[in-house]
Amino acid sequence: MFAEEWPLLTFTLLSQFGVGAYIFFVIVRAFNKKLGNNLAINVTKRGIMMVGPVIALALVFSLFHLGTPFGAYRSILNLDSSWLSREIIFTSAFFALWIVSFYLDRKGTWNQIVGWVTSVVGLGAVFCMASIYASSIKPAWTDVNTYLAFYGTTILFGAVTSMIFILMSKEEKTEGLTSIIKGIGLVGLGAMIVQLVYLPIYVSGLSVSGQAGLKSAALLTETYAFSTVIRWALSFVGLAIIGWVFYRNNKSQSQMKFYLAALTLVLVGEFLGRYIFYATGVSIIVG
Amino acid sequence: MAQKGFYYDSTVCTGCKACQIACKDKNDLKVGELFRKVYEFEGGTFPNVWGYYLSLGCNHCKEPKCAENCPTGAIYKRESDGLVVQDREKCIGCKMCIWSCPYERPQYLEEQGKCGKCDGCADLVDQGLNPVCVDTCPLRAIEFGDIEELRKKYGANYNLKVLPGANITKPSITVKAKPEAMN
Repeated sequence: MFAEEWPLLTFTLLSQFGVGAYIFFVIVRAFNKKLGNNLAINVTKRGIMMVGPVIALALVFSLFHLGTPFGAYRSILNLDSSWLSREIIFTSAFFALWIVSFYLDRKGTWNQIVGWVTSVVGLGAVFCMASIYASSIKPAWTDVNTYLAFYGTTILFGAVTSMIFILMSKEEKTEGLTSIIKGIGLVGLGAMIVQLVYLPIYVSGLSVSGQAGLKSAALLTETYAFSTVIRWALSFVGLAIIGWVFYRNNKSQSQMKFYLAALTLVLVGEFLGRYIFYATGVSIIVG
Repeated sequence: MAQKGFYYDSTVCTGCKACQIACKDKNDLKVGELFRKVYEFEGGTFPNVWGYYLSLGCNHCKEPKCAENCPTGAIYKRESDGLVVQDREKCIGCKMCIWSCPYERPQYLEEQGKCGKCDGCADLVDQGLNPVCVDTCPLRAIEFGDIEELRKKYGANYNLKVLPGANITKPSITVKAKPEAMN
């Protein structure tokens, strides 16, 4: 499975990472006036810069999925009905808009409206991405779960990345900023809880949706049961570490190793989650 | 829109796979690549045993998911006869068609880095000829033509136990099947 699907696995994860992080930075910046001193802009500056290269890398990885990579430009020719075409358009548009907003940010004339528009396009890209899987013939994918998983990853990545960037910034963590960080943490936690609540509904739905669904359900509850537990534990511990460092000593700025550990845990957790997603996609077949 | 399709008589098919091989030859397919495939099914307990074959090419569905999801528009439905054909030049080998077909018919062509599928031998059909699988069958088990007419002649039967639900893509086929093959 991995040998065949790694380009898509990395493409979906990285693009969701980029989109999620960007959206959270824009949300933080929406509080700029309230926080004063241009604080919200300053603590997210480096973060905004990171988004573009991540999306570019995601797009490059996606090429490795194609048998004929040099024909990639033709993938936008069926916008009428193909979610893959729409995904490429939206992801590219997100990247183009990021360039615009990044340029404005560099010039010191950040435009919040451009930020929001870019965010909405990013959310659209994730929607198209999920719809590709939802319009396949694999019962494990043609389910609300795909949307929850893709948006869940987007939100969790966004929450974790934005918290880390803000906490690592040199600016003073004012009370306003601290409460924003708390809010972000809770949203990240919420994104995980929603998926976990839906998990049993998803599995029970799969087991009554025919042979392919039954097989997927069996993979989830048997072969990948342990991996699923690990996957959630890693993501949860990653988020928890940030919370722990935050509450233990939110004045110190030398917490780099904890943040790196937290980010790594969340990345590995989500990677494992996406791996399971691909591995449990069983096609309807003849027979 | 006119819709061409296949009639297949599972009750006379001997599973010789001549259709599969003729198709493979016509399309110059490599090892493991089959645009038409003969499936075998068997069951029961001695002495009450049963078995039958099912020869499947592209079903030229009324609502082909492969064409709908193809990002380049390489796979499309011909207006004139409803055949689901492919412009191989346009294909980028993204395999969306493979993820979209419940009948496992689109194939990945490793050497070309592209996908391919049964096009109902559209080039032959345009000359007023039959697809090669039809003319190759020694039992005359496959017939090609307007699916409405074929269904009038042989009945509309496509809800075989082993086939994915016809409601997914509305396949243009009709099958004369053994009782054991039916739901």
